[in-house]
Amino acid sequence: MSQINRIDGGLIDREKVLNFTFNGQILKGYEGDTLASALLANNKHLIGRSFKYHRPRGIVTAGSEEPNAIMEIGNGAYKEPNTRATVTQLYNGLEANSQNHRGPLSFDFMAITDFLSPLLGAGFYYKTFMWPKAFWEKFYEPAIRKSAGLGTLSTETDPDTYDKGFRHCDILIIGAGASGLSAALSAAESGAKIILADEDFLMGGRLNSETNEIDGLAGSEWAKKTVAKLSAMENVTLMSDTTVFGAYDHGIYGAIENRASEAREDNDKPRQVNWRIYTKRTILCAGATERLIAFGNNDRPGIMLASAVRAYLNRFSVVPGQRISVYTNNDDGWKTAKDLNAKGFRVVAVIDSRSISPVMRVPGAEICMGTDVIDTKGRRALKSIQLSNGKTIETDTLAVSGGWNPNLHFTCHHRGIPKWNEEIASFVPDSAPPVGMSVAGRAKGTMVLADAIIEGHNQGSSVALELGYKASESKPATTSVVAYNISAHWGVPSGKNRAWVDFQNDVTVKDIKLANQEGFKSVEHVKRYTTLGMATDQGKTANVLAIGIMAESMGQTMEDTGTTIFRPPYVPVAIGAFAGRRRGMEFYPTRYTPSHDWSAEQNAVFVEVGMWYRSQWFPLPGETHWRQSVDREVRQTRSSVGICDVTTLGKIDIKGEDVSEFLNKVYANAFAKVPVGKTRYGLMLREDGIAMDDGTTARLSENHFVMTTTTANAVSVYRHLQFCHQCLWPDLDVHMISVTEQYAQYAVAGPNSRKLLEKIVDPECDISNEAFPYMAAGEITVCGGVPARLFRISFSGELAYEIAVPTRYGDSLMRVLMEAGEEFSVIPYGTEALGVMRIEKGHAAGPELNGQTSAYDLGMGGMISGKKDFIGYTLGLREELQRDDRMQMVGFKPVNPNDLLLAGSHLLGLRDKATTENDQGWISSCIYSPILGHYIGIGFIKSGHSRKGENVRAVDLVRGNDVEVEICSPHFFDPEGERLRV
Amino acid sequence: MSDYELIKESPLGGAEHEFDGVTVAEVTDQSLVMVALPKDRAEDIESAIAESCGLSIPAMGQSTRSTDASLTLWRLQKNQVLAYFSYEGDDAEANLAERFNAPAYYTDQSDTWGMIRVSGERSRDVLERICPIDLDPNVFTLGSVSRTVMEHIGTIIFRDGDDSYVLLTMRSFSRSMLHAIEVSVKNVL
Repeated sequence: MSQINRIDGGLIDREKVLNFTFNGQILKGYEGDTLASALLANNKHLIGRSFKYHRPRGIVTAGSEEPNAIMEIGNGAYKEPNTRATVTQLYNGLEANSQNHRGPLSFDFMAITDFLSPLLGAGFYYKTFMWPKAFWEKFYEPAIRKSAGLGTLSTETDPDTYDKGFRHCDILIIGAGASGLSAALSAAESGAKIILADEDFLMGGRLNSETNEIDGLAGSEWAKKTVAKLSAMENVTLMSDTTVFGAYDHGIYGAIENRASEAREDNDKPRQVNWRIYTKRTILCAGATERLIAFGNNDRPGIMLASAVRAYLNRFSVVPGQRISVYTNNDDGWKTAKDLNAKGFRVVAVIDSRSISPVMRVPGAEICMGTDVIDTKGRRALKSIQLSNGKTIETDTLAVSGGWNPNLHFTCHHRGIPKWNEEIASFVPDSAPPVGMSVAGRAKGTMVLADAIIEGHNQGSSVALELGYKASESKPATTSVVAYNISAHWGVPSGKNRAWVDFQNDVTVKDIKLANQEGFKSVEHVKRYTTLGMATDQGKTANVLAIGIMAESMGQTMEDTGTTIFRPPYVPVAIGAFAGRRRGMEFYPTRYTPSHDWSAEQNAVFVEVGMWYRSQWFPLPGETHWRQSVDREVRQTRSSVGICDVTTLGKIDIKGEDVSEFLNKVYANAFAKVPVGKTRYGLMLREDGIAMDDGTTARLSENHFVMTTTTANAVSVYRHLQFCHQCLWPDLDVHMISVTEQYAQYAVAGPNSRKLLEKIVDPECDISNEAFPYMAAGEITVCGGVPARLFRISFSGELAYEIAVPTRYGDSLMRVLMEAGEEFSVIPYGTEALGVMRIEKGHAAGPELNGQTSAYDLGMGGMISGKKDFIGYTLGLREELQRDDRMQMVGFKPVNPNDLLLAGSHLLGLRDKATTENDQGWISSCIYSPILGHYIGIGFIKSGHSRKGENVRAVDLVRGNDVEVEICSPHFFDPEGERLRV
Repeated sequence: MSDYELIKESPLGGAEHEFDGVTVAEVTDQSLVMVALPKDRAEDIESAIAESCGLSIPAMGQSTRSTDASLTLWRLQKNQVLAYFSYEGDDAEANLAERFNAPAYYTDQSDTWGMIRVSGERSRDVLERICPIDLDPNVFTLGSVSRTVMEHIGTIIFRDGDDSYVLLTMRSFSRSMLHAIEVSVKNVL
């Protein structure tokens, strides 16, 4: 029969029947169920196996703290392990599978470990797998890895999508229980902007699971009404099924919104949204979590938290067993018996560890005061419990309450240390929560509902008042005062039986005591030695219990024992949710050059340069190797004309009366007297005298310069200039702005470059060699009046120009240049050919400007001006930077022209062994020169400038290359620069 | 007369997409010019702009708009304003300089930026997935302008209507920004 444990009432929608499967069996539940409540309704008590001993385990809680009911949800690539059934909203088609067993759930072959438990106590890994050493990697580790770990991954790419988002509020209220709703209402009525977040898909907290009346209504009704009221207010954002998981700096909170059920119906929607919530204030109303009591065999399926039994009974209309008993150390546990009675179920027994009078009359139940449960029976389901008074009671469900722990975790995310409160036998927040956070209700240790409501209301109102809003005029809701009395009770001597503290990690009382005996006195050490409080539940039901046992074991107070540090995340958050939508091509944005579409039409091969996509080479039909394309591009450029998109180079417009002075201070070489219409190469040093960047700067008018930078340093050079202006020389009249993207810029290089440009440059602009010589710059018009900038500069060593037009014309200019250049057999060339030509010319680039090289090292010492002060001047004079035996940039060519030369090779003497001590330098850039017909390289070698003509070896041990090379000038091609000036 | 003609193209080819509650459209009819304010001439510039266009230099993060809404000044930095105005010519810099007649330094930025307008009643729901700043209508009031980062992309956001926002990203990032907005639309609507 389906749902045999389902009873009347509750907050589920019986009209909406949902089908789901558990280990392949088709089951039914209702809208409003969690997976856990639906499993219990279907009488599924054995739902998984424990981590270490593969003990049969059942559902323990009804909330976020669940240690046992963690499952694999979904199948194939959608499968997600370790999902808590107690907070998973049931949806049609949900597929759940139990985890951590070999063979069927009811007969787990790995359960043998339970019988080996005497050998597997705390720290057994550390003690057992020490010898023989060689076994660790080959045998022990693989075996442990195979056995350990909860759940399995699909090993496929997660097909779900995730997103991120940003929200802002005056007051974030964490938790929508009685105190949270009260706080939200009073704060919202004041006019403050509120976000109310709750991890449950149904707001109301414990009110949905209890039978308290508030303002004359059932608690759940009052919650529903209050939520409706808040929902209608424009200044309130309600975020249900959203777990705040961390308190970060500056009032920022992380929250994960779960939209799994929605996403399953519409696969296009993100499964989770990771919200960053910016707050001015926060009120923590996260309630409290009930804890267990440690007694012999207290982990059998059917042993649950007392509050969970009430949640399943009252909210989900599920009675988890037919013969239910209660074991408690506080008044709250008795409510379970009361609620069961009210629903018409007889309670078998109420066992209270306190030697006091019974808290209430429970008709038909055996009442045992001053009594403990000391052992239980039933392998796959609870059958009976044995009491300290010698009695054995047949029971299939035991509702246990060891008291309540305030959910104070967020108060510790900025290193707050909880303090012990004897009256409620629990830790409460200290006085140093994250800035802007206050705490109300049970999270603060206010265990009486009536007081928690008032506290929430008052906090909401007073925090809003602090922020400048008017105080709420409404009164807090009222409910009857029910006292919370407790006597701390951590564990019962269990003899040979194991008493479990942390169900998820199979940590027992004995393990904790053993850790103490072995010298682990700090709670942090005990945690790590025993694995207590780790994994998906982070010990929410176990931690305080363990601390109590530690304190008793070590004869110290709870306060002295202390808690471990609570850190984010409060609940498990999928890595996918942190990544959000940033996967694959969306990992970071892509920047496209103005000629991208045209290049794609030519089947260009692209390369990522930072975020830019640049054309690397342009293969022609029949070219099967990249070298064929690149060699052709170089030859054609050097023999006729080639075009390369150089838009990515940084471009900075600098205007003002003092720009000359400014540039003269920024560049190492002289810039004070650059004439209008001229470009000058500039070398920029860091303050420590090391080369930072190079480029050209042109003077377009008296007060207008345009600087170019390398692609890689476009941002950092701009930032450097801003620093220099704002911090060093604020009085200079200098104004700068990036125009990198304002202009599409193309290098037009080769002996026919002028002829090509003359076809598109408007006739009134004379670009003849006489009118527009090498290093000229100017503003011109092209194609009938389109404004453009022209620079006669060359990276290739050829007669060359760089022409810039407003980017709106960038694509069109590329097409026009190609069309106009047809008569010269113009070709586009990519970054590879660009690199070949720059190495042939011996220009330093990124691999040479590596943050270690000075101007002298680069062979540019002669450029340094001795007549002025500039950034890097003083520290550049340091003796160390002036030494002749520094690594100096030179060229290298193989003695045998057929030899392959590789960048990254290290340089050694001809007969030296390849050792670190013998290392003389390295080759930083290397290419095959189609013009010279052999490989060439530039690199650094000790005293290089004075060693030209000497032979050394270039050795690459990784790729197995060892060739003899000659040290030479880095200027391999047209060293006199005659081709530039024609 | 040149044998060749250059054809201009906006960063996103005039993309426009309508969704239920949100319209995402490239802005193609506006120019943007940076107006640098030399320290010792700021007052002269302010009075010249006031005289020529009736506009004051806005407070930081704010804008001032001409009565016919054709010219808006944005303030994102102490020593400069950005002029956002209805103009599609190639000489926005000269056009503005002539219009202002103020002794400032002008630099055309029209082609530097891709501009995308996100408008409609669900615009804020879509933008909250990528925009870290608070777009609450009472906080980011009409005419507010801010510089921020969205999806790793430096972005200027300007509120030009009750439910309308213009996002400016460096031109080369435009396709990525449009994609980011479209993903948000898909995820939210």
